[in-house]
Formats: sequence, structure tokens, C-alpha cells
Amino acid sequence: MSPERSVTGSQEYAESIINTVREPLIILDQDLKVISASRSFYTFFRVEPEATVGQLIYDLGDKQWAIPRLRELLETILPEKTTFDNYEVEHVFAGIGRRTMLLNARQIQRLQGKERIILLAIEDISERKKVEAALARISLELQERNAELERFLYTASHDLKSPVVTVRTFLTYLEEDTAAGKTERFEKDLAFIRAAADKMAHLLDDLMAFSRIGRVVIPPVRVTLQNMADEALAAVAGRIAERGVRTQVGDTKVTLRGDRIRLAEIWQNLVENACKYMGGQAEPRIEIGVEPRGGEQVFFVRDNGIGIEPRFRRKIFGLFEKLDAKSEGTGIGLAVVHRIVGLYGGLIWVESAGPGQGSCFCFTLPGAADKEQAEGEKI
Amino acid sequence: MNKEPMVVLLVEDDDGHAEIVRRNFEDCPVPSKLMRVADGQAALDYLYRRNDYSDPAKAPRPGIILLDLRMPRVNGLEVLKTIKTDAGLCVIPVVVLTTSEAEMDIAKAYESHANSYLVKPVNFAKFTELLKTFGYYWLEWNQRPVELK
Repeated sequence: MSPERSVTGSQEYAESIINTVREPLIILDQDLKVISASRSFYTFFRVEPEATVGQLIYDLGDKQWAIPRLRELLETILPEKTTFDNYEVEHVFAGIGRRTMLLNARQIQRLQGKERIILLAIEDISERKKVEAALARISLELQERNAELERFLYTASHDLKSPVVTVRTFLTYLEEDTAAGKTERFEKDLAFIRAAADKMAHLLDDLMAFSRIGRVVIPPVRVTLQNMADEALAAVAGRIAERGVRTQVGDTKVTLRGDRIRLAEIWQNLVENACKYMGGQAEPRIEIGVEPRGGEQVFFVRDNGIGIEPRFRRKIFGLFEKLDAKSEGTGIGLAVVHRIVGLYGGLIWVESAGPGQGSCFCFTLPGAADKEQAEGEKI
Repeated sequence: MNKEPMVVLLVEDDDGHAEIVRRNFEDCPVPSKLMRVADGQAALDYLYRRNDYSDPAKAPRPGIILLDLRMPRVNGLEVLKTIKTDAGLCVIPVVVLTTSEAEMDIAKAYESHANSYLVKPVNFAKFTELLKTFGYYWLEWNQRPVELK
């Protein structure tokens, strides 16, 4: 075999390796001009061999390779270290958009002659990055769910244990008093037992309802703010009439998409809450509405009731948290609202100037945004 | 020696549980004067003699505080922190009495300088035994600093 044929043979050999590799591969001379590129390079970056070979790498495809980070790698790092591995570069390419690439390079001294060549392999990790980000998001969500479940279990076990202590203790008092023929404490003890049993029944009902939120998936439907307000006001109509509350609903045409029953529960609980904590207000008012704030739709239920101190503004959303031990209910209403708002990726908070100044419960529901309506508005 | 019975401040939102503690203290051979408030906010009002408790005769200074953790408005841990960071109140022993066995609650209570942590037993005999032992230990045997005598 002649030396010429052997050279041609090894070139073919090298090229067939290059063209077999799935990752885009490019070979540069020491002046960073393209000697050749793999088939996958041309396909991936949508460029033609004629417009590539002989060009300075930075000039390829309308200078879309003039990436400062790549320049640094090729001109500073490579001459020093003769190799670099797994350098991540993010860049927007004309034909294929934003890509995250992993770059590996080797600088090789050719046997014959003094010139050096550079092998540059490019791995597109954009998809992997997306999957990693999605995984991280899911993992965070799971952690949050877990924490929520732990808090739920803690609260449930503590609050359910309390009435058990009462029932068992007073039953023993009853047994002892019966044996001793003493009857004067009977009624009182029975009342404690009944109250504890009732409390336990309420807690269990509320716990069951709370645990169902988010477990049952109902196909989303379109509802208007008017629908939600109507349902809420109808559900607490008795209370509203009894207390003489004046109600007002604004911007009723705003629509939402979601589980109608769950969404309605938000307004129902908030309106009920507003009625419950109206205090001695002579002209009780409740306003239901929505307003744009910082590019977001913020829904609100505003009242002119007893208001809330700043230090309780977070606490009130906790499961079975009550500010007034004497008020009716187990303290689940706002926890339910918090949970539903959370299911729709939203936030809920309360604004109040302080005691006696009324409260305004504000919330967002990005997951229930009605996209068709939003698009319709643009046109 | 004519010793005044020690004032025990019970901070407990549950009426049933408060009644159980009251009956046990009545039956205890060591005399005590039990004062009860129904939540954390009331406990702080009592200790600082504010609002309903501005009359010192209605709010005698306690020699010991029995404190529930999970309560409306201000919870037990917040009360505990306030007491233990107040130069005038921090000498008062605070014994947590709660249904919670959660490690987190126990750890937080001691971090906030609780003097003891007791879990309310679900069993009647044990609850009675616990309160009796509490009476002997804290009201009889335990030595208090002079300002609490």
C-alpha cells in the first residue's frame, strides 16, 4: 500500500467515525477555521457544508457562533490546558432557538507538520435541562405536600385526642360517683362528655371534607364571578338577612375555569367568615370583587367588621385555628379556602388596618384563569 | 408556720380539661389557689395585669404556670417565650401540659426554656396520678426563689 493511499484510508476512517457519532462534532484548524464537520452537525444546526468548511467558527451561519463564552474557551482555556470537558453554554441560535449545550474539546498536535487541530463536540442538553427543571419542581411540590400532610396529621391527632381525654376522664368520674351514690355532679359531667363528643364529631366531619379537597378531580367548567358571588350569598342568605348585611358585587363578567363546587367554596367561606366577624357594626357591608394588581387578577372579599391584628394574619389560615374560642365552628373555613387557592396555584392574604377597621381577604387563582377569555380580550 | 397556698395559673382553652385539673387540685393534700385563663392572650393580660386583669386582687402573681400549647389567638409557645424573655416573669416555673407528644413541640418548648413538659394522659388513672405527682413535686418539694414565696 502506498503512503498516499494509507493517508486517504485513514482520513476516510476518521470521517466515518465522525459521521457515525450522534453528537454534532466539528474540527477546527489552529486559526479556528472549520476543517470539517460531522453530518449530525449540519443536520442539527441546519447549515450546509459549502457554507461551513473554511470559515472561521465565529462567522458560521450569520455569525451566530460568535458566542463570548465559546471564544473564551477556544482562545484562553484550550491553549493552556489542551482540553476542556462539559462546559455549559446557553445561546439563542437563529434556526433552532435557545439551546443549552455541553461542550467538550481536545487540541491535537498533528504528527506531520507543526499545526494543531481542535476537535469540538457539542451535546444539546436543552431537553435534559427542561426535564431536570421539571423534576426539581415536582420534587419541591412533593416536599411541600409532605410537609402539609405532616402538619395535617399533627393537628388532626392533637385536636382529636383532646376530646378523648375529656370523655374518658368524665366517664370515670361518673362511674366513681355512681358507685359512691353521689349524684350532684352527674349533669355537669354528662354535659362535658356530650360537648366533647360533639366536638369530636365536628372535627371528624371537617377533617373528612378537608382531606377530600384536591383528591376528587371534576372536569373544569367556566364560571363567572357573578355565579360565585350568587352561590356564596345564597349559601349564607340566612346570616346576611339576620345581620342586615348590605352586599355589593363588582366586575361580574370576569370568568374562571375550574371545579365549580370547589371554587364556590372559596367565596362561601369568605362571605360566611365576614358575616361571623361583623362585630357590633351598625351598617355591615360585604363587597365581592376583582381588580388588576401588578399584572395579576386579584379577587377580594371586603367587609367592615371587627378587622384583624397584624400578628394573626397568617395564623388564621391554619387548620382548626380560631382566634375566638367561643365562636362557632371548628376553625376549618379559612384552612379550606387556603387549600383550594393553593390547588389553583394562587396565594391568599388578608389586609386589615387593625381591630375595628374591617378586613379584606385577597387571593389569586392563576390555575383557574380562563385563557380563552384572556385571548378574546386581546383581539 | 402559716404558709399561703401557692397560686397556680392554669392556661387552658378546653373547659373539660380545666375542670379535670381543678378537681384534682381540690383533692390534692397540698393546698393551692388555682386561677384559670382560657387562652394565651388572656394569660399575658393576667401576667401583665392588663384589660380584664388590671385589678391585682383578681390577678395574684402565680408561683407556677401550667400551660397548654395549642390555643386560640396567642398559642402556648408564644406565651412561654414572652414569659421567659421578661426579666420580671422569667423566674416563674412554667410547666407545659398538653395533649401533644410531637417531638417538635417538646423541642421548641425546651428551647423556649420550659421548666417541664407533661403530656395529658388519655387514661383517667394516669391523669390523676400525674396531677397528684405534680402537686407534690412543684407545690411541696420544689424550692422557689424568694420573690415567688
